[in-house]
Amino acid sequence: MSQGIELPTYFPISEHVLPDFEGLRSNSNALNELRETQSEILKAANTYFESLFPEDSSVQWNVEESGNVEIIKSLLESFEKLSRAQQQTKFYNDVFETTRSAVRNRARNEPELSLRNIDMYKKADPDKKSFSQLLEERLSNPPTFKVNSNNPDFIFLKNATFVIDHPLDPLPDEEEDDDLQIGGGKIDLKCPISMNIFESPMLSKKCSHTIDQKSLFGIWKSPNSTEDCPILGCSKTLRRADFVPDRLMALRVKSYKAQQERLENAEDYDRLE
Amino acid sequence: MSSLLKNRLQEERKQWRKDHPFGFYAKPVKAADGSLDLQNWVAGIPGRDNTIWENAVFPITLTFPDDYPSKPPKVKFPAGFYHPNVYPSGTICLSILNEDQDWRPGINLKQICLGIQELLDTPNPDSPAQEPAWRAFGKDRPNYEKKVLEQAKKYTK
Repeated sequence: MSQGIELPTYFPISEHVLPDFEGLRSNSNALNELRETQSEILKAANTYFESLFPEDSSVQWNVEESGNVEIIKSLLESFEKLSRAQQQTKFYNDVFETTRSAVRNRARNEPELSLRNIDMYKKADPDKKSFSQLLEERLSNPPTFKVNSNNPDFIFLKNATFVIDHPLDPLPDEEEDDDLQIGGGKIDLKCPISMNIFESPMLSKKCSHTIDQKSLFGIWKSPNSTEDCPILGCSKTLRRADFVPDRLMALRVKSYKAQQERLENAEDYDRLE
Repeated sequence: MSSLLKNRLQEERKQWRKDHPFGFYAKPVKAADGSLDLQNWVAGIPGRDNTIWENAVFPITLTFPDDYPSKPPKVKFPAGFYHPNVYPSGTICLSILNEDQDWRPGINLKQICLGIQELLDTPNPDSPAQEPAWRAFGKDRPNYEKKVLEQAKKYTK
């Protein structure tokens, strides 16, 4: 029996399969699915909040004391899980793409394995790794996946229950580093410009100051104009585009109004008795 | 009167009546026909305790322009008021009241009044508005304090 040819531990991908190899793609659909599911969760949360404070004031508002905590808590957990799954998927996709193109580039400088060059490959660096080995190695060291604490959707879901229960109190983790709050101050539900209770509160992403949409359009007459933040002592220069709806403030206002209504109803009831 | 101006000044008044810092007063003046003139207010700024301004309430007038709150109100002490940052006309020179400096539409009456109270005892030597008080504050402090105490007597609470 003739002795078989022993293959080197490493040799480049054959030219015949290279086109197939180049055609390999990571799964970007998965990422989109995850994103969509996450926005479904936000929609569910919003629908829930809207049901708590019906626009039609003849309907009795139905916030049970802390009864809403569990629902929001589980939505928040799902939201976090999906965030982590997105990061994982993205990590996998990125590693896959970079490894594939690294291996492809490497193959450009390496001649196809043949009987003439087999010895060269046998003598080559024994640590040189194949695509699957490289991929496995890079994937075996994932970073920690956790929700970006600056994600506005996450901040909203995380604090929604608190502001429903305490519409006038500053968020618990903000109190410490906010030295502008004097004497454990209350949150002002009024626009500092119009001094009316917020209708459509808008939050500046740059400095976290909130003004009503009407006031915003009064100050920023055109989309591209730049103006100083209207709050005393704030040095940020802003455009309309720097503002996003302040969902927590809107929730505070709804909850506060509902509380006031409930108080009035209770007084009426007392009077009847 | 524009609706923003009117609404804002009405809300300022409501807010002030509900809650204002201790020792201050502020109210719109009455027009000739007895109605309130929301664009013209009088207010009183108490001097801080343990300063040469204490035990007195200093009167100011506030005039809100038609484009308030885009533009700041004009705030004046009585003409001839003795303070390094008050012009002979009584107009107060304070950065938060200057449209080209730190005025912002979100600054409310309470913040203005507290800002002026702060200015009383902490004049800004870099923006002189009158000769006598500015010179005395920088070069002849005993004389400056004497003048301030004399003035405070006129406005004893």
